[in-house]
Amino acid sequence: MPNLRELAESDLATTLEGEFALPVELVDPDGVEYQVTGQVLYETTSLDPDTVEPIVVNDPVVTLRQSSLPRIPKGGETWGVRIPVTPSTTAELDDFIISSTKAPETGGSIGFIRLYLEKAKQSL
Amino acid sequence: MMEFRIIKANLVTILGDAAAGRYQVVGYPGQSKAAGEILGNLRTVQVFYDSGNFPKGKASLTGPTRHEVTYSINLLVASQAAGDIATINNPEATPSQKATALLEVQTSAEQADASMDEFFNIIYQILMDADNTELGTTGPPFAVADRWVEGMQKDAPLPKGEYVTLTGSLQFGCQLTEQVPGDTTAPTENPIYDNTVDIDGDDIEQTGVTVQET
Repeated sequence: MPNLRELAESDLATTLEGEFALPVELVDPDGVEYQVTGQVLYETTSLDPDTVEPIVVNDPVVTLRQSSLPRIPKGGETWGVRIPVTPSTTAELDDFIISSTKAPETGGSIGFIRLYLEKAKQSL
Repeated sequence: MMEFRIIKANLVTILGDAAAGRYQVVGYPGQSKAAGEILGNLRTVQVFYDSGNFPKGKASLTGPTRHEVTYSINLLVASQAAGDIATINNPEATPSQKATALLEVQTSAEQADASMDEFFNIIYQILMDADNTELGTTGPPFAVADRWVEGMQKDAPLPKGEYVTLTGSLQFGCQLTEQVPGDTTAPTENPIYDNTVDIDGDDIEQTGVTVQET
C-alpha cells in the first residue's frame, strides 16, 4: 500500500491535471519546449493600498505537478510560458515569462510548483 | 490669482501640448488606474505645487514679493517584459535559437526602468526648453525670474499583477514675483449703505442707498 504522501502526490493528477486543467506550454532556458497541463488562475484578490478595500488584480498563476515536468523551473531562470487567454482548452495562447520579481513557489511537501507570470510582448 | 497657481496651470498646458503621444498629463486622480491602462506611452505625469518660501521682511505693503516655488512633477510608468517572442514560439526554431531569444528577454522591471529614464529625459527637456523660459506667462513685467530642476528621483519597481509599475518624481523650482492686491471678500447680496447726511431742510437725513451687483 503506498504511503499517504505518495497518495497525496498522485491526487495531483486529478486536482491539477484533471477536468479543471488547461494546456500550458513551457520553454526552458535551453530552448526545450514542454507541453503540459495544469491549473491556471488568471486573477487574485488583493487590497487597494489607497482605500484598503479588496480588489481583483490580473495576476496569472500556473500550478503544475512537478513529477510531470522534465525540468523544474528555478528562481532567476527565464522561462517562456504560454497559457490560454480564456479558461478553455481550445483558446488562443498568450505569451508570458516567469516573473522576475516573484520566484516560483515549490510545494515540495506535496509535489507541485506554482509559477507567477509577467506579460511579455514582442520587442521592436 | 497668485502666480504660483497660474504657473501650475501653465505647466500642465506646456506638458500637455508637448506630449505628442509619448505620455498623458493627468489631473488629480479620482480613482486608481490599472497598470494595464498606463502601459508604454500611456505613462502619466502630474503636476503639484509642493512648497514655496518668501523672503522675510522684504515685501512692500501691497507687493510685489518674491516667491521661490517648488513643483512636484510625479511620473508613473507601467511595463511588461519584451523579447523575441516570435522566435520563442516558432515551432521551427531550434532550441539554441529559442535559448538565445530567452536570454535576451528584458524583464518588466528592466523595461520600466528604461521607460522612466526616457520619461525623465523628455520632461526635463520640455521644462528647461528655451521656449518655456517664461513658463507660459507674458510680460513685461515677467513673473518668472528664474527656473531650474532641483532633482529627479526614481523609486523601486513594484509588481502589479502581470505588469510592473514604477514611480518617479522631478522637483521643479522657479522664482516668481507675486503681486498682493489683497483678498476680495464675497460681496453680500444687495448691500445697503445707510448713512446720515446733513442736508438743510431735510428731516430724514438718511441716504438709504441699495447697491446692486452689476
